[in-house]
Amino acid sequence: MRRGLIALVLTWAIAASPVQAARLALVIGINHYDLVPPLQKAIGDATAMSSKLNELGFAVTTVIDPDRRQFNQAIETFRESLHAGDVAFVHFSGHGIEVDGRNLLLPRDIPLPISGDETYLATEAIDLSSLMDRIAESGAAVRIFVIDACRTNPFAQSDIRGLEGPGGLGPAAPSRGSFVLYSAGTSQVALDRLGPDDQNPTSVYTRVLLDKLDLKGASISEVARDVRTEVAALASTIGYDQSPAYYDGLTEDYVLTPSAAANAPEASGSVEAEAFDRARELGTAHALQAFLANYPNGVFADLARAALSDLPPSPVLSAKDTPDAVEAFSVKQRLQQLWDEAHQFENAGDNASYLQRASEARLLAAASFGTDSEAYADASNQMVGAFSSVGQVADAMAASRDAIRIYTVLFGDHDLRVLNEKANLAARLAATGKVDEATKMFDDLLTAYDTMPLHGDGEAQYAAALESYAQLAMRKGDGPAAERYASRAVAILEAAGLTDQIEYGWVASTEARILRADGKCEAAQAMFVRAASGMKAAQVAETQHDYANILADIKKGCPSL
Amino acid sequence: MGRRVRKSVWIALASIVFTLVAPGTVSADATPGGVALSSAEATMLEANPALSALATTSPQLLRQVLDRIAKLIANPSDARGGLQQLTEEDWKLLQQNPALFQAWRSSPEASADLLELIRVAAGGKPRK
Repeated sequence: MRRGLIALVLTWAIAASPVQAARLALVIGINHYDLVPPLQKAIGDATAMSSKLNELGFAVTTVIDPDRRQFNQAIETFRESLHAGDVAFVHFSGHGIEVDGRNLLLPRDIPLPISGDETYLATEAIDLSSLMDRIAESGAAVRIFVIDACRTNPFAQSDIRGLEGPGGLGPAAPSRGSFVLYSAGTSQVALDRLGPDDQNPTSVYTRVLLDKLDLKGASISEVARDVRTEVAALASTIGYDQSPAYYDGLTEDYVLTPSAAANAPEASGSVEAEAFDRARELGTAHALQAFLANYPNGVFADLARAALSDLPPSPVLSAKDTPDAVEAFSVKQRLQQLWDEAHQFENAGDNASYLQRASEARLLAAASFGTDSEAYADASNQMVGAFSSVGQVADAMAASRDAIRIYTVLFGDHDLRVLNEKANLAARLAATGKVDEATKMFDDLLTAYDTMPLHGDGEAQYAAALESYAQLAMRKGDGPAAERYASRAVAILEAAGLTDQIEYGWVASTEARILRADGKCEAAQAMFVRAASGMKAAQVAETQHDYANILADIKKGCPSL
Repeated sequence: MGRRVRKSVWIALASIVFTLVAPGTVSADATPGGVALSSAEATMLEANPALSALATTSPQLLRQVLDRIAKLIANPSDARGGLQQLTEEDWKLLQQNPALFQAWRSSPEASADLLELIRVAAGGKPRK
């Protein structure tokens, strides 16, 4: 009988306000899979979500149990119905998997995950990135995607090349204008229900989301954060670890249910303006001070100083201001989310968004924990890379010094975090011509590393410091020292079994270039091959800048004698 | 790719699901190894060659396997996924044994041990 089921398509009445951009939604739920396990709540999710979105003024198309063809047809029809400036909302409840960093949504007729058939399975599934691209083509200004599905990799144990372990690569950064809510974190399962006695017609994630969607005045990112905390708590009651994730590519917050009160005009249009808005919203001395630390000469600096002077003096974080344990947990989760997003933008080459996210995290750390906290030091550490990515090296060094100061107070001067940050600072000192200061710092660093037992991250950091020192030695014209430091860095990573990391590719390619500069072309070529092997093992794309340079160097070869 | 389930398998599957959820009726049926079976279980053995082979080669395991199948079907996974890859060997086992396929569909993760048990009992090498 189930074979006779066809996709049931329901279209709800259009209730969008005529004065606003149209709000259109596509809601898909699949319970009755042909081969993979059936679900109980996915259709309940689709029905309840359609009803909720209809209340919120969306014109909703609901598709139940579609096979791949029907799924694609539904996407295409939905895309054609959208116009530039519209708001698009897509909800999927069903099975999902994550393979090679791709989130795949499984239609009703998906084949079984047979080993060796990974490519076939992927072609039979709906690739979320492709779906998002298709919706983006419509010109819809705001695109919200809710994926209530697992993100596990069924081929995680495979020895097939190109498939990573269970942790996955994580999602690609969403395109500008897209906001993605996942019911589970990377490589996690999503709960269909809270056990056999769970009578709620919707899944654990969707039931919580439904309650939050019509919160007046709440932005979609605030909704996502609230839902994450609540779902994680619910899942933990039955021993599951489900931590919903979201990825924010919106250029500004989007509110599904506006509050009645008119919003005060906000500064907008730049990273600094967004940071200022955020600091002003938080309204604390720490937030404004952190804004000024980032933008001491910015357009909004005077306004920030004025706002700061209007605050009552409170140089010390009072007990009242200290977040309780639950809030602290929530803030730390938010910080991690911001850093994850920042690195996604970094990997995607969007350095402005990378800096924006890292700056927001630093403001949040300052406002929540104070500027002498470990969280603020961590946030400053993140700012080093973010500032560097846009060429603000002086700001990067200032952030580095902040982190060193705090880590040293909290953990002593031989802590790995301190050493790592000193290596960051030394590399930038060297790059800006402060050779003597950099040399002294590197010497101190290597002495400190040599006296410490190192494991894992420590070994990788030691190797990174050696590599930076090797580059400085090259700049000073000391080839033998450069070769010595670089080969030591390579040896450390190899002994630690870290040859499948991108860091190995970096370090090995540095040694290769030093060898080549010293006229040892054959040895350099061999080292470039090892660097490429590391990049490949780390699953870095061949088009990635460093990997592409390594491949180009290999291709050059050595001149024949 | 030849992954489609034959119609006959679906029919057998439907009959197995029915027999598994129907009230158990104890019968005097017994395997050559002396394992007492309900009539539903005896029907299941007829439709599942891996189980009937087990009755001959490893009767001591048969009761354990039957109990596991019943438990898996009665306790479907709460998760929306948890799919794990199947080998060609697993796939053949599931195609030819509708009760095992139903157990897998109910709880894929928890079925891994069951499939391993049956493979090893049939003379295969353990994978773990």
